[in-house]
Amino acid sequence: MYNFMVQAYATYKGLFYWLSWMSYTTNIFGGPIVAVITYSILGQFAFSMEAARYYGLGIILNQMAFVIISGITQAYTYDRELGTISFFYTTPANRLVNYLSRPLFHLPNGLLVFGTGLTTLWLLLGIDFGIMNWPAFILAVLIAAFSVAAFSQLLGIFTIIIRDWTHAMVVSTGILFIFTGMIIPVESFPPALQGFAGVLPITNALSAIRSAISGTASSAIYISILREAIVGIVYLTIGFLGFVFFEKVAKRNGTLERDEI
Amino acid sequence: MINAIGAAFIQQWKEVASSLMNIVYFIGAIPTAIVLAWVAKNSGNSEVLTYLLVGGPLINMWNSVIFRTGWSLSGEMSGRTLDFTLVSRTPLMLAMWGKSLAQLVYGIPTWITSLVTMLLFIRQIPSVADYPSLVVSVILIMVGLSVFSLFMSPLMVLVGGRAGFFNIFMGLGVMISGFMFPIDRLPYGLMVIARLLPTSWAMSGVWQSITGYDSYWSVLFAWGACLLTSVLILFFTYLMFRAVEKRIRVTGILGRY
Repeated sequence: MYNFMVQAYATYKGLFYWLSWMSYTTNIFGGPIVAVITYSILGQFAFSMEAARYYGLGIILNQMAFVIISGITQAYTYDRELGTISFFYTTPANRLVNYLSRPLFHLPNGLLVFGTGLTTLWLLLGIDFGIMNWPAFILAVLIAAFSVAAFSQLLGIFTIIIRDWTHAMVVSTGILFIFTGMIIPVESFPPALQGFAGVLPITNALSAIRSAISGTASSAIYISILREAIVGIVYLTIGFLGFVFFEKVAKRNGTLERDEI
Repeated sequence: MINAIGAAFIQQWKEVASSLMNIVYFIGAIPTAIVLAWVAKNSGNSEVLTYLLVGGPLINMWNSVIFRTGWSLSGEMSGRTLDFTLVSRTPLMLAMWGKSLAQLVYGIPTWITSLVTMLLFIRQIPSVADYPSLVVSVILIMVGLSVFSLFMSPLMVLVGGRAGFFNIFMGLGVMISGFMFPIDRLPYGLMVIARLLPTSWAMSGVWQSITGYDSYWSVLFAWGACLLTSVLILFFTYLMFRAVEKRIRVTGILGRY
């Protein structure tokens, strides 16, 4: 457990470049506030107050994904760029412990973003917390953060290889923005794309969060939450296999350079 | 003066155009364009559709130009090329302006990518009441964008901006420029702040050219306010460049302080 915490802290403190107060506060607090206001007003402008709430909630998840994906993937890239991952490969450290430790401190950031966004939405448009299904709501938010982190872990492997996290972040957050129901309802896609949306992180959790806010009974929501958890576990597993495989390939070729590989 | 701006433009152009990294701006434009196209198409309101068709592509252009120009002075400092600009007779602001223009021109493919994506999804002819005033308003948006991106360049250095710092300016700028909705939809406090940006005035011109207007004076007022705020921002930018130069010369360390 001690090693787990040390590795979690070291990767977060050393490899997350948004930790200056200026970058941290603007991304964790400023960004969600601005995004929620922008997309809520867009919903009002194009449709109605109901659309404003729908977009506002969707964009909160978008911001949460942005912060978690950016944080985790940049840590992988800098681990590669700064050469620290080479030292890690020479140690007998438990790979699974290291892998699981990496997203630990990024999860609270995602939850802070969600809290900031939800508070903004409540102040801007009002949310009836009285009818909300709180246990399902809290569970859905936690699982959403977990599945986004798991997805980021998988992306992180690619960012080690290509040595650039911004491409991975832009492409992945773009796909999530279109397909997970943040703005465009999933039901409006053809069946094949709805299936694709179902295996992306956020889709099921967002559906559960929307249902929980409107006070839907738990049994229906928990199925969505369970799906989201399964999606997260699958991404985490594939990511770990990729993490171990990349190390093996790098050691076999004697280099981290992808040109050599 | 023209030569100095031209040389800075070419230098910056060669730098950005040779970097494969910048392809991310083109790719990144597509998802937002698709989502906004969906909103525009399903709104059932031709004015909303046209407004989003004009404003949507500008979002990505804004983000890429503000981000890259904003980092440019910091980049010059860390890359040790600022030293040569400081010992030359060319004012620092002029050289950086040439660079910001290069960034603006390089942002045009992002704008086109976004616009084509939106048109492919919408498949409708947008309705505009007055095309000439729309064209003038869009040109003024480019002027405002160029001026504001230049403003960000010394600001980034003076406040000691770090990685990730720009994200808030990109989002905030999109909101108060009114690229997604006319800024009279904003809460009053934000609307006052928005009026400090030339792009918000130019977007008012866009809205009027789409919906039509009773008097030409109202559009002229928006354009005039856009130009006036541009001049004011340029003035503050000049002061900030002087502050940057002074700080560097006072410390006696050229490339960093």
